[in-house]
Amino acid sequence: MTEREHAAHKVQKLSFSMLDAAMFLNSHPSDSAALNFFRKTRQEYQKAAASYEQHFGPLSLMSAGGSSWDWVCGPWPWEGVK
Amino acid sequence: MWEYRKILEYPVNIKNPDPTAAKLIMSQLGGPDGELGASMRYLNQRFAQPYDIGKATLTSIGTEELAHQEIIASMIHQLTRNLTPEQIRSGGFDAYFVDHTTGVYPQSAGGTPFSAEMIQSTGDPIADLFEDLAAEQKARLSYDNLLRLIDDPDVRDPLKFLREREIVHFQRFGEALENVQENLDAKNYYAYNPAFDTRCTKFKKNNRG
Repeated sequence: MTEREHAAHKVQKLSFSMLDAAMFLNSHPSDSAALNFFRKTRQEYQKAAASYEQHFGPLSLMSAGGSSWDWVCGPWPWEGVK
Repeated sequence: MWEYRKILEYPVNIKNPDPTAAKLIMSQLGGPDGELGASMRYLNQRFAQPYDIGKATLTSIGTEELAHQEIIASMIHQLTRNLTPEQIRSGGFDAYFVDHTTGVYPQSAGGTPFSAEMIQSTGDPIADLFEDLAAEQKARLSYDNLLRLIDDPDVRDPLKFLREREIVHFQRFGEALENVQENLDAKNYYAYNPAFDTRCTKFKKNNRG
């Protein structure tokens, strides 16, 4: 596994956890254990996403716009590992 | 992947219900030149683009079209709130009402449901981008036609914003097309498919030129 794949896998795992927990929380909004899990996962996600972006470029427009416009640069997610 | 943002790209605040306007505007959701077709067209065509500018342009515009769908759907929702049976009948909304009540369903102003037959994804980046340029013009003129028929400023305002975006997208697609053409051998790029036939490619794939 390349370093990029490793970093991407971390981001994918944590963002999926958030997405899945959010779905549960929508119908169980007062479940405090689920809410704590979401908060903890969000913190870990923010760290993992920042580390990915530092090495491999922006994940979304909200973090694009560094010293050069690398948003436009491949590889694109649908291309797989070459 | 996509993430939902809990805000409209452009605000929609319509005070007065108008089922006639709702039925007309619905074409920009599920009609032949509507936003649903636009987003599906661009987001599915991306995979045949050989260069980064085309990939980025189709991704960005396809994503914005998803936000435009939501604007149109919000307009339909607000235009059909608190309708009386009399307003439904006199506004010509009765046939739609029988099938969908005041739910939002993607269909044309004439009542034809949305279909992927309204769009293409040819696997040829030049053919696709020419379709996209035409699609933006067709959507722009549909907004012009709506603006000719609708007087309420609350409804006109978001329609004018969406019309402007069609013009900007036309410009960006033109630039993406220029980029594909600049990367190809000018003697034959209309005769071959640059995503499939290697003979018309001047440079290596993924060279941004």
